Amino acid sequence: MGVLKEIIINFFKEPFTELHPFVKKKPKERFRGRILYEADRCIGCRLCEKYCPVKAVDFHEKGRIDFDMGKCIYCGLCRDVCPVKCIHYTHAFEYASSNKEKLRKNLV
Amino acid sequence: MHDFVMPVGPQSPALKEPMLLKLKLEGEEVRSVDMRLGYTHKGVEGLLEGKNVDQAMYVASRICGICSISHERAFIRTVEDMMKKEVNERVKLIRTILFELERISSHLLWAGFMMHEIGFDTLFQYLWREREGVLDLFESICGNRVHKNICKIGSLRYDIAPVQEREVLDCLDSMQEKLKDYEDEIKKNKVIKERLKGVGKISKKTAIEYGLIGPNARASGIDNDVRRIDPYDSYADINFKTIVIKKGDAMERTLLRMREVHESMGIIRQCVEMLPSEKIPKFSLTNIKEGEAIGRVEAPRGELFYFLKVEDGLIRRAKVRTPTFAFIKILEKILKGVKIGDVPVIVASLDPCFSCMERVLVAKEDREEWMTEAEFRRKYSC
Ligand code: SF4
Ligand code: SF4
Repeated sequence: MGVLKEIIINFFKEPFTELHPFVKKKPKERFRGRILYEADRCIGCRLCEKYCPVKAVDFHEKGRIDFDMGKCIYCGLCRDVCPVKCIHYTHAFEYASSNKEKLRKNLV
Repeated sequence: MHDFVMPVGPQSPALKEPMLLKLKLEGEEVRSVDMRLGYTHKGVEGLLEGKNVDQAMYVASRICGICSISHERAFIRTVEDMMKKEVNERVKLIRTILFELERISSHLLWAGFMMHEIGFDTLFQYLWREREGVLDLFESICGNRVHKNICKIGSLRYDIAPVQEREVLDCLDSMQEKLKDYEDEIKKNKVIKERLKGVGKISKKTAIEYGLIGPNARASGIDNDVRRIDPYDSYADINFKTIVIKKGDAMERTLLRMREVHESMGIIRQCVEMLPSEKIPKFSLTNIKEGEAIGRVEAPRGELFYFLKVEDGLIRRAKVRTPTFAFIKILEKILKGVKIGDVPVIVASLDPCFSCMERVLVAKEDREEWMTEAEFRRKYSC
């Protein structure tokens, strides 16, 4: 009986699925999306590079770091170890690309 | 009558993961089974080596997408054991809540697949809709739906806010009634009964012989639950039943998991009630120079075991034994003599997770082989 009841109720319900590309879905507040790096506050300590488990952080010089989002596993360790907290997560999640260079370019 | 060898897989023999079963058939009956594994070997143990424990935890949690908190938790238990570190009450309770939420999500995922396997797609969709609520909770609490990465050694990344406590309880309330209905449906529906009753029976003796663990063992009458025999987190202070059933067929395994979901809900409710108001400690990097420890937790599929050896602050050797690794061999025994149509149902009813079980294991009966570690790595490229 249970399933039959569900079927009848569901006839009169709004669809459960979301119309994502047309109605933009907002991620939850703690969502870890693309990394945002504040270049001017960075002190160049290289801790983020040292601790990244998948070597996704390319340290060129103080204030110029590339986070390779193609490699990143969104673990959040670089943000946690940064002494001046200049690494943040944005809510951006739609940046899939077949061009790897685009994934390496930073959101600043 | 001649023998006929039929390959099932490697593309998705039961669950959506690769494994090849070579079934020797006589008519419709399976005479013998040959298993081929290793399609998704990732060499994670090798990846863990040379990393420090903070980094390695994130890699370990990526061994399995469904039980990522279990892997994290087992890893952390090992490391905290090594450091003799005690964590505070709130952290323990939150970890327990998340751990049980993961069990619910995993069991519902599996129950859905099971229904899909026998062609009952309506129930499959309903079960997965309920699971969606749990995944939303994960997104709200941990930030991600799949690889949650909320645990830290000695602490947690995020606390649970009072709003989220409410969300958790609301989600459980809305799920409870419906899951009861679905469970009744599984019990009563004629099609499900025909497909599952008496199929893939595992007796207690066989279960012990083949070292079955987790829900599969409990469905065969073995009281095996790490949460009870070796309690961690808050399990020692919480009232919960370990559900044990005797019959051990696919139907009982399905019902057992559905009942475990209800048990998990009870655990979560108790934990939320017990949450103290203290703060969780701030994250700090782990300072560990040397040590060796083992740790185990009860993952949704059974006991998950970790061994870690740390030298100079880096992991020197890691060994992971996932639940599926312990019981996959039993397929060779229970598939013998069944009808070919029952094979996917039986494989699925064990709830195997192939991609996390793929480890290198060298066992040679006929001759001994001695190798140095370097030679071994070269030969098996790990
Ligand atoms: S989030 Fe993790 S994987 Fe990504 S760049 Fe930071 S440390 Fe590396
Ligand atoms: S850890 Fe922070 S301050 Fe240090 S180099 Fe990385 S971004 Fe700059």
